[in-house]
Amino acid sequence: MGFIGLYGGLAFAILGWFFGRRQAKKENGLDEMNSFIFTKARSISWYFTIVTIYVLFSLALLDIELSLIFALAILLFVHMGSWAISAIVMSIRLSSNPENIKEQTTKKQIILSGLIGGSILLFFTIMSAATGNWKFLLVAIPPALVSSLTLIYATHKQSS
Amino acid sequence: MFTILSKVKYTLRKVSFTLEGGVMKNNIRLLRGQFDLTQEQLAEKVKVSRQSIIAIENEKYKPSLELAYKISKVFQLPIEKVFIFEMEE
Repeated sequence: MGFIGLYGGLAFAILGWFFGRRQAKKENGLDEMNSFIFTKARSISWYFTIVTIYVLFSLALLDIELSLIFALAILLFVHMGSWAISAIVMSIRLSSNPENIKEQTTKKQIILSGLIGGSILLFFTIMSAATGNWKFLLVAIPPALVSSLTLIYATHKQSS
Repeated sequence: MFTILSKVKYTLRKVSFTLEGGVMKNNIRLLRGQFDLTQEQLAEKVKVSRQSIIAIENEKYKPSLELAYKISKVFQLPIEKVFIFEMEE
């Protein structure tokens, strides 16, 4: 089961990457700005990864032990997630037209707050399930609340 | 002593002037209008995405020398007529 999840996920990721690139190539999407965005996003994602490593060290000091595999899964999740989110943010910011920037900013707020809020909730739910420590869910409340409020505010702004 | 200090100050100012950033402006929007080209058409001509043209036009992304050259070639103008580098005060 584990192998199916691990290699199945990898296969889906490679297929998505391959077809995504093929489609982007047709629309001249694989240009220098695309490479700039992804390189910069990768560099930003390392900051998130370093912070996560420190959080994991702090948890170890607080006697909350995580298995090696679980710690690696968290790091992979944070690294890839922050890479993707940074790339989306940069891509929207760079290619937004000044004429409809307000509309695009609201759309961006909705997408990002949903994405970040969902990721945070998922992350801490997995953490609490894996460690059997429900206190992890408490940590998720403030960031999830902030992203929910942003989501409500942005949706309201768009509909009005 | 005063002369030495003035010289140091002058050198530092010169160095900081060299290192200071500037603003890269461009006339792409204007030239596109003159040549009756859409962002999509210009993007197709220089083989980049429309998003890249939008970002360059709005001065959010500085193109490489190669891309700047290609864009200038479309408008049959030298690079410095299309991209203007302004030193920050």
